[in-house]
Amino acid sequence: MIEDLRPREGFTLIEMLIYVALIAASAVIFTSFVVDVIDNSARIITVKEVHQNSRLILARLSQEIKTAKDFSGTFPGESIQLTRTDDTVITLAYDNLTNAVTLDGAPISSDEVRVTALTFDNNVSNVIEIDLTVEQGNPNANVERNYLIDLSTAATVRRGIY
Amino acid sequence: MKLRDEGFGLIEVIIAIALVGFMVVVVGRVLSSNLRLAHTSLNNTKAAAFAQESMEIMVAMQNDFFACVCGVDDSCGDGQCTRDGQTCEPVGAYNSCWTTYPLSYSGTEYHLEFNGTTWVLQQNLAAVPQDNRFSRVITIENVCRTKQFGEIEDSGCAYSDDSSKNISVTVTWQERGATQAFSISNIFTAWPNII
Repeated sequence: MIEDLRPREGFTLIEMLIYVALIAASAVIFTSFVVDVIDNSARIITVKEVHQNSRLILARLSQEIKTAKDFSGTFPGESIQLTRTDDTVITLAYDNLTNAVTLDGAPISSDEVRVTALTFDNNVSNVIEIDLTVEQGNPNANVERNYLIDLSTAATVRRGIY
Repeated sequence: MKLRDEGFGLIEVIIAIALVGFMVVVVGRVLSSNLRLAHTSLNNTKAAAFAQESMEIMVAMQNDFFACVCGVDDSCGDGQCTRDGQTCEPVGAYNSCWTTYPLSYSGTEYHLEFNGTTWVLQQNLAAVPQDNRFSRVITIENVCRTKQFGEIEDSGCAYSDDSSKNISVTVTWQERGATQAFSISNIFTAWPNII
């Protein structure tokens, strides 16, 4: 029995070394891969959050401006007063303390993201130009986790032209 | 027999690792395509905002660019309104009409420029000032109808209606060596009585 086992034992040792090496290598690769997967999914979630929120904020601002009867404000500036069709006056503004866009003081942007810049400008009669920067929610995130989108568009007060 | 079995075990491990490796590669590709999609989404969102910007300015400036107003640009004594060498005919009791081309141009491709006081049309495409990786062009074409006041037709152009214009804004950019485009279009109609 012992004589029978001996040649196999030597062979098993080499095999064991190979196994261990292979398993160690594959474990390292696989672990870094799993970390990558988690990192990526976190990043994708952040990116989507920022994109969708920035689109939503821009759509909301454009909608309010397009349907307003009249507007006023200091341009370029971080706030604008709009007269709605029912003659109520609302204020759209950027709040740099809470990093949010507010309508009469109440936030209309999600707290999942931070609005880091919002400017309204009015160079030509009824055209309001909007510049918006939206960043991911956590201000303490490290640099490679940071994500922002910078959008600029315009909206025309329809009642002013028709 | 036992020796062969154990040798086979090693091959099995190698096969298993190859399979896992293959899986890793496949999932890795999915991940990288995710990141690519995020990048595409970023560019699309920006392009949509840039396209909308030009469209809104066109909405605001449409009459400045296209309208010939009786009593302002021309007396219309002959029933026609002439501005900048372009003539159009106000319909019925209306006091204005749109000309074939925008003021001081003939062509279909334009971009907008701010000259310090107002927005003006310039010919051909131009880089977007806020982000010059994007270029933007506004295409202005008269709508084709079956006859005057007739229905819009897609093929052929029995009547080219100056008073309704098909305006589209196309934003293009380079992404992974290929040109990507985002486009919005709208039909603008002449608002007849401009005060």
